[in-house]
Amino acid sequence: MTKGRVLAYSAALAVALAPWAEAAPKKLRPIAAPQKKDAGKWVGTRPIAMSAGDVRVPTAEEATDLAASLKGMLDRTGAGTTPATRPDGSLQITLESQFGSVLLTRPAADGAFETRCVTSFEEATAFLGLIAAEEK
Amino acid sequence: MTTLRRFAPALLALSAFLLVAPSSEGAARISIVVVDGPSEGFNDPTPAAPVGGNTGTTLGEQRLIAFRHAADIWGSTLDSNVEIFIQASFDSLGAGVLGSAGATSVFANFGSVAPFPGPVFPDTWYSAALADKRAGADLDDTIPDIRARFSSDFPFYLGLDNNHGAQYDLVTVLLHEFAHGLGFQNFVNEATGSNLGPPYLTDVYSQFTLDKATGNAWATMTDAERAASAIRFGGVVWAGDEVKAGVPDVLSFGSPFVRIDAPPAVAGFYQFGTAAFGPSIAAAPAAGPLAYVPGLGCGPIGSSLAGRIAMIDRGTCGFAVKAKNAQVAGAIGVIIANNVAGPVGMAGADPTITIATVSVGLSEANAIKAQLGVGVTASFGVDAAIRAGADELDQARLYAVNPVQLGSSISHYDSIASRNLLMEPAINQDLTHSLAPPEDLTLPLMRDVGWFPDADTDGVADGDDQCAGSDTQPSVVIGGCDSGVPNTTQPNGCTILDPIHDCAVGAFNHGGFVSCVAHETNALKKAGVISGGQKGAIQSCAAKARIP
Repeated sequence: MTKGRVLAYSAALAVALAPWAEAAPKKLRPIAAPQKKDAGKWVGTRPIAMSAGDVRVPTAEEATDLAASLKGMLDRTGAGTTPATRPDGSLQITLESQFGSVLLTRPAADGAFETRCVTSFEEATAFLGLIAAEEK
Repeated sequence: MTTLRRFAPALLALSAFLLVAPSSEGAARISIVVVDGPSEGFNDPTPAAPVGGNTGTTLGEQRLIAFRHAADIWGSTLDSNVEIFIQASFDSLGAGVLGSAGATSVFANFGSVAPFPGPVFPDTWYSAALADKRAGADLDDTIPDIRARFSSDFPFYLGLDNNHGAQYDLVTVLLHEFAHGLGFQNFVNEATGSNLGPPYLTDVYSQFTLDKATGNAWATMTDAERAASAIRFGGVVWAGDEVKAGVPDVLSFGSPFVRIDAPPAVAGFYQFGTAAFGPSIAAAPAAGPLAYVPGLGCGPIGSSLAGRIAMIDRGTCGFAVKAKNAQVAGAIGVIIANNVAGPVGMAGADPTITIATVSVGLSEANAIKAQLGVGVTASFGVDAAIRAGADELDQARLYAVNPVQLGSSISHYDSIASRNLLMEPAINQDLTHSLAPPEDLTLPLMRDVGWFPDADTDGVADGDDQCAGSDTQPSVVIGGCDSGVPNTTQPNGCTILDPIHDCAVGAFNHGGFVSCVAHETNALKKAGVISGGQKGAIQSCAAKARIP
């Protein structure tokens, strides 16, 4: 059977193709943005892009706040996810915002910016040059 | 594709005579679910000039067009009869954070609508979009399948033409992050090796993640074994056939390496950093005994290093200074011992340096130094017989590094790959928007985890589908007459309507068409596909239809 089965016998028939439209939007429960999680106190050790055009070493307060954000975004513990056995016996875990990846950027030695896709808090802090205050 | 692809039902409704013009398009429909509030993110009204094929006139419009473009690329690459929903927003995410994405749920042991195949592996997690594709149904239609948040603080290149210069190309970034949400990720905590749970099950990505040292897939390992494997640099590969078949078309020969050759306690390949000064290890390979330089190598080195590779600790002076001092002492190469975890990329400039310099991480350097008493030999260079980013069997290397970098360690291709791949941990500037060989290996991995090609999205893989262009409309409608018989798909990939189409094409007159339909429906009844009543309903419609 041929793939392009547009039928030759219908050539005499006038057919109006209706423009297709997006299906009616489904009612989807939004996935909540991850919340900051206490990561302790942190300090910055290298310049990073605080925002567009603002590249500098973050203050201790900024570093601590950023670490808390990253801790929330890179939660991979499974705690807080929702396991369920469905009526048909299948299994589901609703991850919400866990087990995601985070794309980071930092200025490189040559002045350009480099990126790194990470999925752990440890790699994120290492890439952005954040160190725990007690390690300083 | 993000526009509706199934036009056949609409076409039939408008024609009293036309049997059907079945969709020849496969693909997957991917919809963007915007959750930004008014005047922010996708609704940002800031005027914007069209750029790189993006015709939006506001910042928000351009962001949405770029999102839809990336979704279209994935949608035209994968096949699914279940719509994929991506929740998307632009928010202020913090310093240095460009975006985040991931699957919203996972499924295991799910059923399927015949003839969709369901999961290949039992007791194995599948991300939502992939599970839906294999189930032939939306397993949870109350939440989106993928979530994606991107930074409103940083300017992305919003053009669609990949002409991004030094900017972050949003389309490329989206292609990468969507891939994770579609199945290019495991659900393992690589620090502990623990699977996702409870119940603690492996995932389909781990079924193909192979530890070369043990010969075991991650899916069969203990937590401790997975944790150990995650830090085995160069020792974790992708064992799927599709990726292996694609490697020769994508990766080039010439795999750079830094290796300790002896003693056995530290022998093996090491993750390494490269220097901005001096020749590359391809241009200046070296092999010989390792000599540790006491102090920091910032001044003249008193002893001869002739014929030796110098190991020098990082600190106090520039990397190029250390390398030059080692060169003057006769060294044939330099290994810098970093003072923190992981290797370091080394800046500096000195055009008189003619030996290559690499770096290794602190813990690795300490292990090597501990063996100096029994003699350490090292080598670095390029193995011309191995493709960069693969092993000797053309299995693509996954990004395993030491120290462990949770998640990123295995859910990416190795950054040593050449050419650069979309799913390396870094978004390299020379990436194309292609997902398939010869430009990329992302699609082959998707095929391996279960995104089988299915152009007519009837649930039967194209290679096994005897009716690759099936008419998959819900019921058997002939010339505007709805028989009320469900248009089911058989295990061979043919629907009830498919042979009826052939009857229409092959019939010389109406009688011939009706006779052919009768023959086909008799066979379907005999096979138990339809009942006697359904056979009659179809034959009645065939008789009424003005075909041909």
